[in-house]
Amino acid sequence: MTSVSALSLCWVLAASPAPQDNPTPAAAPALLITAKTIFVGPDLTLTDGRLLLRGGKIVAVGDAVPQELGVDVQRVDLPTATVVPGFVVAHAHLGAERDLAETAYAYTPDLRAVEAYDPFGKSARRMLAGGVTTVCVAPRSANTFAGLAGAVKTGPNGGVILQEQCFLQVAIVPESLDQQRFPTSRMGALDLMRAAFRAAAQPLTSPTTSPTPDRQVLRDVLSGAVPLAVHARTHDEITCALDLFDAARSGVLAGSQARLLLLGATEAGKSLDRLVALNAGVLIEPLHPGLQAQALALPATLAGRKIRFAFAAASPQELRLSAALAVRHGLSRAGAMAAITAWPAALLGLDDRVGTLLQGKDADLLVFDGDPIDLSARLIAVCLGGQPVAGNPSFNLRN
Amino acid sequence: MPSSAVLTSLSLALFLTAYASAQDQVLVLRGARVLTAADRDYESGTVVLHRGKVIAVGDANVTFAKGARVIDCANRVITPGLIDAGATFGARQEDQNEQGDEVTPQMSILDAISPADEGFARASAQGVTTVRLIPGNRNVIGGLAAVLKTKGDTVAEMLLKDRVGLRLAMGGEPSAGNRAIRGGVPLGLFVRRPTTRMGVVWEVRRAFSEAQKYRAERTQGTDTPPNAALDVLVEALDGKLDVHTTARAEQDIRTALRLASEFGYKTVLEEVTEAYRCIDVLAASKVTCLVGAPSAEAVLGGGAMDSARPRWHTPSLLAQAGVAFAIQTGSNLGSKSLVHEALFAVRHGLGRDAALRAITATPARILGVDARVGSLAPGKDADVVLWSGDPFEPTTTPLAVFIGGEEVTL
Repeated sequence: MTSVSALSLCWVLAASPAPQDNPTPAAAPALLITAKTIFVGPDLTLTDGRLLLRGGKIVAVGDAVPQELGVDVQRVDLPTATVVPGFVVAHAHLGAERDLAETAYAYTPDLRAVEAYDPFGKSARRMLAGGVTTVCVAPRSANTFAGLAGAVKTGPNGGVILQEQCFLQVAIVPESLDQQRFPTSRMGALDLMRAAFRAAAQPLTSPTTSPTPDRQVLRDVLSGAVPLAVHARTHDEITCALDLFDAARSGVLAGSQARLLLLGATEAGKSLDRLVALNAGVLIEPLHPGLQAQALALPATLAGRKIRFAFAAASPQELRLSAALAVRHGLSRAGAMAAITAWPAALLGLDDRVGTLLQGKDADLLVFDGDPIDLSARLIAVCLGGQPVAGNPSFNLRN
Repeated sequence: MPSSAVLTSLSLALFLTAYASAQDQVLVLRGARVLTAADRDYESGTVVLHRGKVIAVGDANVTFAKGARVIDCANRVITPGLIDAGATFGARQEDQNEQGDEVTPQMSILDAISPADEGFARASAQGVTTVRLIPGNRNVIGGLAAVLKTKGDTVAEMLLKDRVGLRLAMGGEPSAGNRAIRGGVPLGLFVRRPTTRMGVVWEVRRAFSEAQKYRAERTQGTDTPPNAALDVLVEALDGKLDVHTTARAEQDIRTALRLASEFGYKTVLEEVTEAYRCIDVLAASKVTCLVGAPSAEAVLGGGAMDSARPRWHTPSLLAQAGVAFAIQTGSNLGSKSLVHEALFAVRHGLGRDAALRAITATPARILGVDARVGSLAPGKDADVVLWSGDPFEPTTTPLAVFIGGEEVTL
């Protein structure tokens, strides 16, 4: 039954002009989807609900969908399927390794990871095929000021680059150090951060001069326009990151408007009070079954304190596995669903476009034959910007 | 009575005590020989701990509150928690030296410390309750030291005193990895000066001369921008920050003293392997010394650094000459635990009282933390070690270690 419905969706979608031939989704016809379960957003799940798409956007949800629709509206009935927003990966390295790891210099805050991103590349295609429609592409932590992470769609539909500056990534983890250039030690890395932010906080010499591109990035961090994501894994690395914001430890960012995201943060469970006080978000490293119980319980622990978090992931499989393991270790199903859709979108400042299926958002949605948090549920169809990502029904069924 | 029975009952009692102290109870250690590292010792003494502090020390007649938990420590010995004036644990080796530059005075060891490092637990289990940690010797001017307790989940919790000294290193170690530029394009970080012992001193002179110029410009109100590195050097020039100079060979000891008097900063000498060759110079200069691990230096040859020749009896010679010194485990990776290093000094002529002071009261004074640790007196932190016997006997072992009144897992 499910596969019949799925096939019908694919047929309808495939009947639309192929995405590569038609980059303007506005020309696409309206589509009405009825499904057994529609996960619209963290606070709204519809049963036997309806969703109206037009011009690459969600135009109406649930009762807001008019009862009388014109003959031009195509209809898809999915009586057993679950429809969810396209997944959002909060941190990934989509691009060739050498393109994202700047090792020659420690201080490169104005590098932009989106410039190494190829939407037609293999890694992007793989993400999309597994249901990840939005990815925050980040530089690797091969140096201290690694650069700017930016958000992209995983296919060419609906605009490739969502946002060029999601956060500035800096690193305290050992792999950012290099015995062949400054800094070789954590002392040096932290000293570099203090010196850089102190210099950026200096007033401009005259109102007509504009700051250099690197300074501008740091000034955007100080003003809160761009969050600062600190890659820190162990308790002492996390403490160093939090101390940057702490007036009692003469932190260089204390008193500024800077917003903190912790990246990695395996041992963040030991600093919950400080994270709450700073209203910090956490981008958790992907979970796998080999981790210690404390690390596996981190999502549930953070959720218990209302600390916002999302997952980094190198693949859609890693993302779904992380969500499933988080549920096994205490996170609610709704929380896990939000952690791979709405929360990363909110943390990265993309929630006006993606992360939910509310009215006005991009029509990026996935069709599953069950609850996607359940790893046995199969992905049947991916829709990006109101368009099918592939015209071949067997492509969708294979997932 | 079989001694194992004593140990069992004692550890049970101490377990109960730890539980009690959590409930704000007064803890009384009674009947032990109490070595205070202060004015006088007690043959059958009493030490009273409450709310993380020592509240009374005295003989058997010391009174204490009703309801106090009393531990019978007869035939045991109590000392203050030991202070290791220089250790290399607590941080990854790579993080203890910032090798991006030769002169990095603003680097702080606090940024490198990992409270989870097992060196802390190992040291506290051997009676060390306070430690000075400092950037390593690979740079000419390495950075800022801090004094920490050996117990705590975060650096802030462990920290006793920040900025207790600025690391300077003489001799061959800072230049060891550097290579000269011989034409062409320099490849790599270590193609730089200094490559010689002379070059090391040249770097120190250059740095402090620059700091003097910077200080003059800043006080004259010119628009010289603030510089974190030079601010630290100025602090040393102004006498507000001690310099801790590693100087192992006799020639390096002389150089270290000459540089200090040339620029007018106050220095503590560290490792001083060949101090026995210039005892008179040390005594005349009133300098304080941190002696590297006697056993490790003698057995392993001072870590084979700087061609300095160690002697077993260096600590006793310093004591005879009246030079204030502390014994540390130091940078020699072959060193034993702190109390055992002091034991070797005792074996080679140092008095037991002097040996105890060299790992308690003297380092506390040198590091400026003597108001809180280093001796047993009312008001001091409740950092106390209960030993099975005389701490300088090889068969002696710590039975209980308290840091801030809390018992450490041994």
